[in-house]
Order: sequence, then structure tokens, then C-alpha cells
Amino acid sequence: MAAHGEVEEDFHDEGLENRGGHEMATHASDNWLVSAKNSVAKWFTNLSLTTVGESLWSVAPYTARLGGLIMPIAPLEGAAIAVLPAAAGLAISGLGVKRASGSEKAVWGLSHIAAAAGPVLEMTGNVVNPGLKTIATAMSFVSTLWSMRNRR
Amino acid sequence: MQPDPKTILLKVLVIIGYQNDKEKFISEFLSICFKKAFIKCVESMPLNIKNTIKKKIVKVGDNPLKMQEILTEFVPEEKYDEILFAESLNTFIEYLQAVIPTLKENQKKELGIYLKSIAINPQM
Repeated sequence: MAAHGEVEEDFHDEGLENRGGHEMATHASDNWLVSAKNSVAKWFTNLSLTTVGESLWSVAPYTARLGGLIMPIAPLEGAAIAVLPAAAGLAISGLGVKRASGSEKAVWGLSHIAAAAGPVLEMTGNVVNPGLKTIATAMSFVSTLWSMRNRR
Repeated sequence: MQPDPKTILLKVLVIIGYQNDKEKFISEFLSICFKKAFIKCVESMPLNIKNTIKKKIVKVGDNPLKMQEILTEFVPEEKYDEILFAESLNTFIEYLQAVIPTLKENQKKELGIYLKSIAINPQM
């Protein structure tokens, strides 16, 4: 009986623990989602089209936050992709990534970015948990967005 | 074969034990990605084009696909791809950063294993 009771107790505790963890994760997810939706909705509400700028094509490289680093990503046109982890002061450039057409090229390029950026991010020690895996997967994740676009 | 974003998100939600409507979460998540890309595109445009888009967006409302259609007139496909990439990347990482601190060690481990499993098989 005692052994049986112990098993039940352990099972019960684990269930409670998991349930608590799931609730926290659910709460964090929903909070993040609401925040992200509000941020986007605010822009559409205001439709503040006051920014004047240069044309899109001359804008500075886009940035992506990777593990706490701000990484400018140079336009993929032409022959090279430049990835510059600003915080680390390190640059990876001239990867010689050429875009073919459609999703395959983009994926090909992303794979190279992930491969190149990962070690640099590791060197900085400034990566999110689970670190490089997360970053590499994020790259993988966004690359698949190409396949689901309702493109012209 | 690399899983599509919906599959990836669903798996992530299962691992973290997300208890609410997963499909709804995924749909809204992807909508945010597309909207952020739209905003980024528009914010980078000259004022006259912004105004043109503003008039168009009022008509189509809150519909990412319609927004994308509007952009096709003003943004080359590859440029849009780049922006969608950057904005989606930010969004995905922001989400992970928000949720990972709430996870148990076994969940983090499982998440890491899954992320690695799909990251090491890029389509080439």
C-alpha cells in the first residue's frame, strides 16, 4: 500500500507541476500574442504615414534580432549576403549567396546565413536558450514562410 | 521535407503545453508576421506611395492576404521576401524569448531537441 501510495503521490505532484508550467507557458504565450497584436494594430489604427523617406530600395539594411544581438541583414540582391552581428563587432560578408528564383533560393541563402551566424553568436555568448538551436530553427522557420505565401 | 510554419508552431505549442486554442494562436501568429512585413514595407516608402497605400488599405481592412496583394504593385517580390524574412525572424524569436523562461527544464530540453531536428535538415 505504501509503495502504491508513493507512486500515486509522485504522479500527483508531477501532474501539478506540469499543469503549473503549462499554465505559465500558456499565459506567457497569450500575453506575448496580445502585445504583438496590439503593436501591429496600433500602426493600422494610426496609419501614421508621416515618415518620409527614401525609397525602399535605398533603405539601410534590415535588421533581425538574434539572441539579443541586432544583426543588420543586407539586401539579398546581387551576389552576397552580409550578416553583421553589431554587438560582437564581427562581420560575415561576401558569402557568395546567389538567389535563384522562388523559395529554393531563399532557403538556400538562409541556410548559409544560419551556418555562418551561429558560430559568431556562440562566440559572443549572447544567445537565447536553447541558443544556437533556436536561432538556426528560427532561420528554418522563416524560410518556410516562403512556401505559404499567396504570391503573385 | 521541412515542416511548414503551422506544423512547427503546433509542435512548439504542444511541447510547451499551451492550453488554449492552438489553431487560433497559430493563425494570429502568422498574421502578425505578414502584417509586420507589410508595415515595414510601407514605412520605407515615399510619402506619395504611402498615401496611395493608405487609401487602398482602408478598403481591404484587416486582411493580411489583401495587404500582400496591395504591396505587389509597389514592392518587388524579392524585396518583399527579404522583409518578410526579417520580420518573421524577429517575431519568432521574440515569442521564444517570452515563453522559454516559463518552461520546465524537461520542456526546454524537448524544445531544443525539436528545434535542432528541424534546423539540421534545411532544404537545399
